[in-house]
Amino acid sequence: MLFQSFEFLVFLTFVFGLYWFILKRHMQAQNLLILAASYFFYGWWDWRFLGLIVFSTLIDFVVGLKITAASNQQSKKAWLGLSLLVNLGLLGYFKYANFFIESWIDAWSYLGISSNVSSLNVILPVGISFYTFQTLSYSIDVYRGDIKPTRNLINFAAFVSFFPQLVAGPIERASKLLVQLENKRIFKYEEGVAGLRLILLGLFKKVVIADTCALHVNDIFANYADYSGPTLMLGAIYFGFQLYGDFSGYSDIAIGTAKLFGIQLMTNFKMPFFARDHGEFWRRWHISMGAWFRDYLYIPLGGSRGGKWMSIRNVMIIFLVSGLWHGANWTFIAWGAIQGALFLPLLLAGKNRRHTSDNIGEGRWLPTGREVLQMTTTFALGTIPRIFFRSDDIQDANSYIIGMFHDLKFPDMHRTPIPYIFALLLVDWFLLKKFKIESAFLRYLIYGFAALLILVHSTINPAPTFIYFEF
Amino acid sequence: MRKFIINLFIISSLFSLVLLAVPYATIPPNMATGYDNGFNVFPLDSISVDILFVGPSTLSFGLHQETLLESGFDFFSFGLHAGTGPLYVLNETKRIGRDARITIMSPGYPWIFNPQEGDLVPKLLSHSRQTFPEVLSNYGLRNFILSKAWALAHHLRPWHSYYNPSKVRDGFRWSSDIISRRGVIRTQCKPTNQWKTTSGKNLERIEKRFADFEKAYDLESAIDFSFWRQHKDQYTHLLPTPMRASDLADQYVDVMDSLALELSLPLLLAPESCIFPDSLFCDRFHLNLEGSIIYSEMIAHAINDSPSVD
Repeated sequence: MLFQSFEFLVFLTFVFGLYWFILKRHMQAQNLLILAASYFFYGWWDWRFLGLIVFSTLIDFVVGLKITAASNQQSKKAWLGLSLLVNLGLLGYFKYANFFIESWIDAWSYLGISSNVSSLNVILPVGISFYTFQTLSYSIDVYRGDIKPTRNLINFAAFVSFFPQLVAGPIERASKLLVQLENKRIFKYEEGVAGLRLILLGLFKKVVIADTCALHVNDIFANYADYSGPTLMLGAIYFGFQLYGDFSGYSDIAIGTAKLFGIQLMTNFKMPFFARDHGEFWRRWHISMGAWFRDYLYIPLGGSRGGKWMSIRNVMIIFLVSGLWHGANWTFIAWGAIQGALFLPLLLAGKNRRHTSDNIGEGRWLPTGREVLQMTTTFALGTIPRIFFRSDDIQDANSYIIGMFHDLKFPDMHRTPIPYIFALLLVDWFLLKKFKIESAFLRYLIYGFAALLILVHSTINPAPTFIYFEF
Repeated sequence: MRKFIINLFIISSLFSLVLLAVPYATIPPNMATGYDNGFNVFPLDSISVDILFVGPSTLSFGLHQETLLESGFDFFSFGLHAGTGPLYVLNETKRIGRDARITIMSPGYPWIFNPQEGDLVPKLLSHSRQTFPEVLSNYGLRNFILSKAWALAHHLRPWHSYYNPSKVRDGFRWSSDIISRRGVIRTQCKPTNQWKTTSGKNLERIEKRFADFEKAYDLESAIDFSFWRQHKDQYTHLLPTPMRASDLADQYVDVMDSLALELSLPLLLAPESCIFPDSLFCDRFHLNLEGSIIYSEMIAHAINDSPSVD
């Protein structure tokens, strides 16, 4: 079920009504409703994969209890190992089995030896990377003693499968989401309104911006050999905004929907295209994934404690693994490697934490010339890995990049998304500056206009899904 | 909670009113009526055919279903608005083309006039989808409701005429140029239209376009037609579009011949044989029912005689 579909509107209205009007005084029943609604929401795509979520949920629920009950460190480790084995095993099989088998076959055939291994026809379950990370973090947190395990299976299952963020995040932690599910929720008018606003913003980003860009990106990337360099540059720029509109739009809708149920999810995007360097970009882009890798991979690997070289190694591991997390393709690994390469100069110069606050254009309405230059450079450099992210294979990505510098004819087509991109940047800038429209009439006029744009564009742009569902 | 629900209800109601008012204010009635006529909309992914026709709207108007089916082949006609450009049309048909044994490409002369018109695609799709939501392949309840709203809007404004009457063709629907359809010809497509474009001035303009095309014609401009990736057992033919005798037919014949040579693709019909009297056209580009039967008979014979047919 897609957030921008009519079915979701009906589904949300129904669940919202039951949640607040019928089950308002019964917290446990509310959680059971969330669980049932979440399974229904997921099963709408493919009910066969519900078994995977249930299996993963049961394993980590039991593991959590067993870790706490274990009398010695070795038993705790063994139980944690089981959780890691099951979750990473599921992820490995469903997401990477084909990739590794095909890479194996390719490697042998490169050496002129034919391999008898044949690839598998494995279907990737939607959102598997997200919910396995969420359950995994629970077991690790229990093992570390950061949280106490829950003894309520319904609450835990609702935490794993909470439908607003089930298929594309934000990747939540038990210490935040599970705790909320274990406590009574109260509906607050301001939160409800904020939730609706976020849903509207998310739909605007997805349907109006991302899907408009997608029409052009799909054409340019599919026929890159036929287009001039500047058109390819435009295509690469559009893809950045498509990806941002698509993914951050999903996150906004997820966070907004959760608010309607009295639940707060973590912020996943903070106007990343205003980042002044690559370090700041990664503190603003897909924050929940970055935080996950930091807490469960970077720090256990030693973080920055082992000196410069250890930091470099760990940073590269994080980026490469996060590339692989996105998809089983060499293009994603190349994406991760380039992201790491863009980050390393900052790390080596000790400037990777230069910009840690929201002080862009501080004390003024517009950014300074220097900031604009920094933002543009950061965006332009970030475009290169995004080309790998979008391309079907490394060869295509390389050809696309080379093509960008050939035939430097100013494009006379594919210019439609330009005003959309400016509109998105303007919205983001107002949000960054916490600009408030005092006039309620004007505010609602803007909301109405945005809703109208969403409706009109939803009939124009035939984009059936969100990009991150594939991960 | 109460305040929230009441406010939400008021805002939604206001928005719904605006929603109904917008199409009322913008959708021309002769488009809205098209909703009642029904369309053949196919989910593209599910289509598997022997013969695939790819080209502009001259296919939608030029292929007569019964005549072609009599040839014993299952066929699918992907006749899109010429303004979408060949690249778009070919991209859209790639999925079906993978399974079709014979692909018949009909390079419409609007494409030759202006082969880089691909940027019209979003506009045309938008136009068609807003006007005829049912042409969407993932046709859903929301679209159904919207289309009803638009039909209502039409009934409230029956007197309004969007087009200049001289440009309205009987039975013409914008969406028929956009969506794919299985050789459906509209019987009401009569030669009643008086839309004349072949005035002396226009002829001069079109002549210049042909000359420009031939001058600039090279492999690069031909790539639009030639990038089709075929399997071993698949065949492609070029099909000349029907041409009015009064409309620069000779030049078009030359262009078709040189295109076939350049692409090394066989012509299904001799371009000369596709020059028809003006009386077989319902407008400048599109055949009427009688014309479509003649044209389709020629195509059916040619397919049966083709070496690509077992």
